[in-house]
Amino acid sequence: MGNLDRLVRNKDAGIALSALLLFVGFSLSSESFLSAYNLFNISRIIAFSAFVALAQAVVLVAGGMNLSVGAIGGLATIATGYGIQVLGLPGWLAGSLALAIGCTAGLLNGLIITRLKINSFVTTLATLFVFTGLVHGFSEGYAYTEIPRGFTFLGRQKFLGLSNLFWVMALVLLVTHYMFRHTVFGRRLLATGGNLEAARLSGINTDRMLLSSHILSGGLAALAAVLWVSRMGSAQPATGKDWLITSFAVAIVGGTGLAGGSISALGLLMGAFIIVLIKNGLVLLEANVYYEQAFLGSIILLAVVVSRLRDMYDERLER
Amino acid sequence: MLELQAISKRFPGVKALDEVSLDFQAGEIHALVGENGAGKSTLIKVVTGIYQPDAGQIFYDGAEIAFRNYRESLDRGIGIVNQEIQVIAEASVAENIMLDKLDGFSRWGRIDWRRLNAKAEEAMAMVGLEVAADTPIRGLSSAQKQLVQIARALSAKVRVLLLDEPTSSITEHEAAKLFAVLRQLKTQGVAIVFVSHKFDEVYEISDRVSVLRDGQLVGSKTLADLPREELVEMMIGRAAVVESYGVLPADRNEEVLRVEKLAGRGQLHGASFSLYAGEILGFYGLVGAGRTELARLVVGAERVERGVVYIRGEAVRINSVADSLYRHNMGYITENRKEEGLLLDSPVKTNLGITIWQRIASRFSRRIDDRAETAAAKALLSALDIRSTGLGQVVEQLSGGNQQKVSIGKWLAAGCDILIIDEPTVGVDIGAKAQIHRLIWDLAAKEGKAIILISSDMPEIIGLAGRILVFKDQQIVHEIAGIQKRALRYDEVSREIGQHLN
Amino acid sequence: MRCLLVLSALVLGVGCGGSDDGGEQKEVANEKKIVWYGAMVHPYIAEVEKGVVGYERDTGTKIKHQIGQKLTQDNENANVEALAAQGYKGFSIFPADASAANGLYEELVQHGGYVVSYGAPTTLPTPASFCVATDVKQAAMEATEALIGFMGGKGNILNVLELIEDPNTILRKEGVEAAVAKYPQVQIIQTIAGMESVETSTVKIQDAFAAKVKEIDGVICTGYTSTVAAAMILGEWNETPGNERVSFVGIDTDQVVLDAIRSGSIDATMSQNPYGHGYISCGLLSYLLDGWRPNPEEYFVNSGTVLVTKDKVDTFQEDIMKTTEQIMGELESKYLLPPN
Repeated sequence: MGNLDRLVRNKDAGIALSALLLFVGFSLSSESFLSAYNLFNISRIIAFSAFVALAQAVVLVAGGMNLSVGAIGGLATIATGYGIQVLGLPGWLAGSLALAIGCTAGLLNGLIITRLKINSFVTTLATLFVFTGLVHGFSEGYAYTEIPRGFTFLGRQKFLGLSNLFWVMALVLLVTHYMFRHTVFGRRLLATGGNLEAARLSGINTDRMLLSSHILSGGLAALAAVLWVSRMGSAQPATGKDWLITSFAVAIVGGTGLAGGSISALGLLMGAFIIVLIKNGLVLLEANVYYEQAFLGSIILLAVVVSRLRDMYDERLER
Repeated sequence: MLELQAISKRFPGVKALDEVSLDFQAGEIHALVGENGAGKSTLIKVVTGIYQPDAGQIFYDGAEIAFRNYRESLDRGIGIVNQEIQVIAEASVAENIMLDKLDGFSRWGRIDWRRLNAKAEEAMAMVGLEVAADTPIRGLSSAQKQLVQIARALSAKVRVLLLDEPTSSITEHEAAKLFAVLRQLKTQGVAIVFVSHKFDEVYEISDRVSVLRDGQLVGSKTLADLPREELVEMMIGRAAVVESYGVLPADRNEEVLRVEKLAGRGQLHGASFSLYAGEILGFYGLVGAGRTELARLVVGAERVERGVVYIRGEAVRINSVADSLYRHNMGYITENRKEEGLLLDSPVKTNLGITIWQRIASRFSRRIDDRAETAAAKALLSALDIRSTGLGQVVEQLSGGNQQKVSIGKWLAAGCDILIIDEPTVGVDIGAKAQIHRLIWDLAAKEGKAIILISSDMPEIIGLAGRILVFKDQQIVHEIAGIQKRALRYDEVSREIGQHLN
Repeated sequence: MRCLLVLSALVLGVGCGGSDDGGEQKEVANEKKIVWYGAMVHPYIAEVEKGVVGYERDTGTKIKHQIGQKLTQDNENANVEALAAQGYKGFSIFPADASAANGLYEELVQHGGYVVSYGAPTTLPTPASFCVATDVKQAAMEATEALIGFMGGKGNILNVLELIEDPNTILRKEGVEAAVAKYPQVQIIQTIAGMESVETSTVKIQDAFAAKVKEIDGVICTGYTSTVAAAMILGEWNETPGNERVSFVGIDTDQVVLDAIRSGSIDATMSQNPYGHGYISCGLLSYLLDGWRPNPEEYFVNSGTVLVTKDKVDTFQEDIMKTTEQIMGELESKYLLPPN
């Protein structure tokens, strides 16, 4: 097998290559693309998208899905705002409160799924409404705006030209990579998603794995929300409304299969990179605003088709 | 060492185990035989905590045990090798082998891959699995995957090892290696429980045999002084019939299927053969020799690269199984009943009716005529002697033999006159096997169907087929014709086949 | 099992909360039977509700408040029809869909009810007696002219529209373009749209702004959430030392926007009169139920706008209240005809 061949078969390489092509393409076609301000801007949106996608990916690998990522994000957002503005908590404490609420929401999802044996689609579809309702009920649509300056350190400041959020995300993705590659917990989570029955018969407590994946998902969604508050400087109750599509699109373009069992941290990063570049690029190139969704959808479809073609190429080689 | 007392286990509608009492000794290989659905698999799953018994007690080293899950069983040194291949496709061979022991390779939360691979290689060497430890499992053959499962159990340092038909998907060579490992474990004082359908194996390796029938223990005997006939009789409750179906008068004039130089991508280097009405044509060869591959090319399940298929003298292009079925009345009965052949969660009626929906649906409303479906299914149920509680029973609950009958039945319902039947009796007990043989024979002899029988079971293929094509390395290497006409004896034919396989 | 119990307790709790309202309804059975319907949980709707509460306080009339689950006509129909079945006759409604809402209105009117749209007009002809709303095209023009003033009469504008599905968006676009057309030295350099939350707005505006940051002199926003997002982005930009100031005028008075105006990091916002939307629509319904008839010449009640700049940020509410008072004073003389 030649080097080129191996490169084609490596999922991450394919995604990274697509991302690179997009990057070069936009750099050439728009002069402001490479401006410091745009790079800073892109870096923080990528970071944010990657967090949202990661919240979805950790459940996808375990063979489930979490439709309530955005709603959990919304809960965490208002928890942060409420903590700071109404309870007068310091930022770090309000953030921790939000994370705890996110994990609890994930725990609730996980408990319903594993104890009552209701599949994750139905469960999280239901809790999506429950959580959204709680957000509406609690905030009545009002944003919490008295977020202290200090809290926006992560979201608004930069380091080496890229947003602090980007570095936080890089760190989290490194930890994710390490977890899924090298730790017992991560490997068991993957095994559970890869083949539930086999995992169970290998003495893996698969219920606990599913439960953990949902807690993790809730926690990551909450983390994304806290970082978003830090970036916005206010806690908007509508936060999370459009996370669902982003979370699936980035995760799938990034090579996390819907069937579970595989994940790639680099893939997630590149997936976020691609989606954000496309959105950014469409605005830069002044695509017709009324058709924008169609462009975006087509490009996502294209990415999935390319990945499918690669799988088919693989299958042919295995013959 | 391990003693079961009056174990009972009930599933909806079935008493899978009925007060079974057994004991397994250290340093003994204990065979567990019985027809499909006799309760063997249930028994070993009860022992390992995968199922919990409804009644009865299990004693281990004299103390009562009640495992809530397999983890607890494994922790006490009781391991299982399942019949179904259960591996994590995305993980490496080594990881699959060590899956239940990952804890042991973790230091500061990080898995020590080098140590894990080394440890896995020891187990791989024991079962003769010759690939690199970090190979992803995706590309492995099912035999290799089965070896991975066995290696997983062996590497656990178990004191009791239960194997559920471990040889069902591996080659003889690999099986011989496995037996050597089992014998060695036996000398180390491990108690081994071996579930099998194959008498040769049972006699080759076991010390004692226990027979289950309909969830009850028929008896336990020492194998050394147990004649085969007696074992068979214990198992099916009646003496085995020697298979002899006489001469099958194939009509050479009516060529229903002719294949010329057929080739797929990387499969079959141009295969040609003819099939006549009322004939049973055998495809013999090892797994992967090209038999199933050829069948799948013919029915359009795989893309044909070169070659032509003629049906009743006419060159046709078959692009899909639907083409094959609805246009040419040719059906393919897969060897993977569970994965490809049946809708396991659906009732018998749906499974039998699925191929005729197209025909019985109302032309205008597209509504499937329920009465026609029921009638067709009922007719097949009695014609094929399918044992079920009725048309509404879910297929998954049927025994392997009855599942196979349903699988054949659905193609008969479709009115196929060319049937390609792939390994019809794998995982089917002896009683049902004879019935399926009879069914296939009658289809050809009485109804004039043209049948291709793919099988690795030599007595089966010699007993049924009038001609046999021998496959090797994606080619047809030999044809043995007129088996029944010449009244060739079993020994002669098997020798002839053997010559062409080497 | 335990979590099931918790869940059902939760559901029951919510259910009980709902039935309290049912009790109230019986008490007000003899009242005028006016319903104020808010289409969804939204800061704008909350502001409108304040006007409704103000009307109740000022006049002693009891009004049924009902808020929908989501902004779709289906949801609105289901909720409002349920109220009509309970005998309510006067309906103050935010139309979810400009043309489909007329279907609902027709049914209400057929059963002897009166409808006043607030917030946005429905397509004409309509069974509604009045529409109390901002003249969005007019407001967009005024806001754009104010922006051009801040820009010194020349430069490039980034035009940020909001929901593509909202028919008002087209009117706003026309308003912005009409204003720009008056100034030959001003161009619209790019128009963006298709944002439904502060989140999506932030990403889109940020992208567009970054793309042309050197050329953009002013940003105009004519939607609520986009204004919040843009206020934040431009606030951040204008506060960073070394950056050239970019002018900004938005719409509505979210706290984030007002704070940014107060601190000087953005220029102004156009305050609508949501309080008046609630107050005036209830007032009109009250008259209608007393037998007054709508003046067909005065279907559209322009609720007015106020430009909120730094010096007005703490007092603009009074200006708006005055507008409302003025309109209320004109109801009998201008908008209504006396009973026969």
